[in-house]
Amino acid sequence: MSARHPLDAVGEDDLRRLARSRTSLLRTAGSRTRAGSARTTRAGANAGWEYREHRPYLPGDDLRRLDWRVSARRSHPYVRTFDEERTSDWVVCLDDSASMSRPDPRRWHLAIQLCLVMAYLLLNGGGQVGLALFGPRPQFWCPPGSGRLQYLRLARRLREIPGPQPVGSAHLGALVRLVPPGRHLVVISDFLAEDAMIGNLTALQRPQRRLQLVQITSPADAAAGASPVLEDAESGRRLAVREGAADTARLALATHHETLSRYCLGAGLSLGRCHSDQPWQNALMGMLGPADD
Amino acid sequence: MIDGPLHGWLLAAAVAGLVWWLHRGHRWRQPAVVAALFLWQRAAEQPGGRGPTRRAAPVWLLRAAVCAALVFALTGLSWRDLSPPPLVIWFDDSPSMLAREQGARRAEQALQRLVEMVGERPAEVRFLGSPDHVRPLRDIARLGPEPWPAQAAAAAPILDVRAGREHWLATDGATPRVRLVSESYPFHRLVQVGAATENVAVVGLVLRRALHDPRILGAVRVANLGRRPATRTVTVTAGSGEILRQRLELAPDAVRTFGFEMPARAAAEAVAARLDHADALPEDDAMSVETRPLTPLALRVGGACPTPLRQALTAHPGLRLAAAGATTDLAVECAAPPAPAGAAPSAGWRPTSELLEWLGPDGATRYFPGPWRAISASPPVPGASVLIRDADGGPPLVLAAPGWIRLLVDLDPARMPPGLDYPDLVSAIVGAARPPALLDPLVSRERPPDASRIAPRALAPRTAAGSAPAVPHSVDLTPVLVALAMALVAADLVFQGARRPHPSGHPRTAAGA
Repeated sequence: MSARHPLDAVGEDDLRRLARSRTSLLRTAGSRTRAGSARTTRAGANAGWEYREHRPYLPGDDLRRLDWRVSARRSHPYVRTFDEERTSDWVVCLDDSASMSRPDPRRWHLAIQLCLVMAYLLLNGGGQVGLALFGPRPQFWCPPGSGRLQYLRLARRLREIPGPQPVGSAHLGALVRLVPPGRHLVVISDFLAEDAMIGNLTALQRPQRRLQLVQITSPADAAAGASPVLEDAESGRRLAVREGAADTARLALATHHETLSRYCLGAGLSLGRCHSDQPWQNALMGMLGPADD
Repeated sequence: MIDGPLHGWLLAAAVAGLVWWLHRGHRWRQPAVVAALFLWQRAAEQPGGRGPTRRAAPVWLLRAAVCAALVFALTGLSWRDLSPPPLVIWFDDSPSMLAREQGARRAEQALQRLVEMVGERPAEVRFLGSPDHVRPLRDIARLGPEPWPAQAAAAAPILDVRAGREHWLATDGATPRVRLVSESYPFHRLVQVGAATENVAVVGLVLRRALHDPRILGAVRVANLGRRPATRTVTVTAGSGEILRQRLELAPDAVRTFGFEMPARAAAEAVAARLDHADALPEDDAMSVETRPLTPLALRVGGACPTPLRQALTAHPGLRLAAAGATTDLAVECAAPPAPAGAAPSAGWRPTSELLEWLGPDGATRYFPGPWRAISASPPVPGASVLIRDADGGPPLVLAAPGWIRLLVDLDPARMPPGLDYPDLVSAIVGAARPPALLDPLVSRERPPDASRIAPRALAPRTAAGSAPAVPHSVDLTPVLVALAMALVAADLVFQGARRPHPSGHPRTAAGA
């Protein structure tokens, strides 16, 4: 008998009810960001879009946006980019490093549940949504798309993820090259890096992206049982600690959270924080605030 | 105090160390996985400090306790009570303990030594002659040795020398009885006193009536129970009159007997024999006997008795007719007995046996043998009447009453005509009423020779004196240890269940530690 997949807990009926009460998700998310940053950059031209610049082609770009003349002149595929007046294209970026499931596998379960729910809500708003993983081997797991078909594709692709990578830390910075400029990002991670991934987050914002951060914390972040020897889930490095180390770790974790929060406040990023022991509904409500109706 | 074999402690320590070592390695092989190690960096062990491999999981204490409990259970750990056990002093109360040496009796010397040895420790004293009576040592030491009578019993008493107590024996070792006791029971300590060995004693004095004249014949026996020859003078007196004075030279263990005689009228209440030149044990240098049993019983014969019976009673050597109004020892009335005499026994009376018995005035049982059948409210006791009928169911023969025996003889001349049977009948009746020595009374007193031996002898007790400690009270802790081990195993299981990995990835304990 196969084990129940975490996404089984995410039903479409729940998502529809949630979408009805959350029709202004993007507006809500946008309201938490810096003024004017709602403008997105998209490779391609269409009605309602304003030309911005040319940039090299990246996987996932619409081939119809290739500027053949510029490409022929520069001997490299280039696409035209436009500034969009409204929110439309999103990439949900999921951290699949080892720390997402070790020692607390519930964090990974909640992460992929939130990943699907966020994608549904964004797709329901009429935008395009893709899926990228930024663990030790960053990759575009599902190209952007729209509509119910894209939702089903995302759900299938999420189920195909074998799980977090056993070794290696998250490379959020790789998304700078991986995700085409102009696409907004929903970053779902534990942000458990020594700099709280602030450097990479800063790099990700430069092409006028909008970032929606979802941090999933776990009670196990500052608890290690009675063993005096600790092993890092991602690097495998071991550290011998003295008695009472958990108190020190809790203090460091609080400082880490404070650092990330201060950065997001200063950078105008939206940061939602939820706990791995929460159901995905509670986690989402906590991040999005009270319902519209 | 917990008591156990040394190898048990060593093995338990070794097992505890092994358990600690195993847990130490186990912990190093199984580090705890954390999501972000940098959060713990400030809690890292200082370089050069005691590394994590030097510490073991706290559960090692629990498991080491389990192993140690099982080891102790296997090696027989016990709880021993170190408080001194109750002290019981078995005190020899033989006459030899009354011997005087250096101004004090042996019993006094023994008590003094015991008080010094025991100190403030509570102790009880039991005498070999009355082992069931318990008295505190302090009381005995305060009262001195006088209050108790010296026991000259030859048989060894049965002592309650139970475990859990400390038993001492205080004696001089002079008598065979105490030597047998010391060899039969395991005493923890032997307190022996006494040094004198020489003693001459009057060991026997006997008086009897002469058969054919009014004289009293006597004999006195003197023994030398010491180890050296002794010279004594023995004197026999009756009242204030001296009957005999004889100088003796006695070899060791020699016994000499001297006869004497005196007129019956010279006999006083008592005749005494005494040795001069008193020795260590003056109590056995004198002996006296009462002469009253030698005097004939004062008899009163009723006027209704037939002449042949009166003549038979008068002629009896153990009887004398008392003067009118004088006190009598025996009365014979020949008359019809009181009711229900002369008639068939009333209801409740039943035949008992051919041998009539009743209690005499001194409490001893008396028998009335003969071809008579007793009908009484059996058994006859003083205060009750005893109706004696002949075997043919004839008229009542004798009715006995309490106090001095009152003989009521109802003789039917037709059935028992006067003749030679009368003296036999009188003798049988009087002999049954009085001790059987009525015809040839003999008064004597003897002292067991061993009761006068005072020479101490080295005892060979089962336990050497002063070397065997008292067996302390101990409790086997094996069941307790096994139960403790089981409880600890259960606690370990519960503890491990609480630490079992939860789907959340950390222990179920609230703090995760």
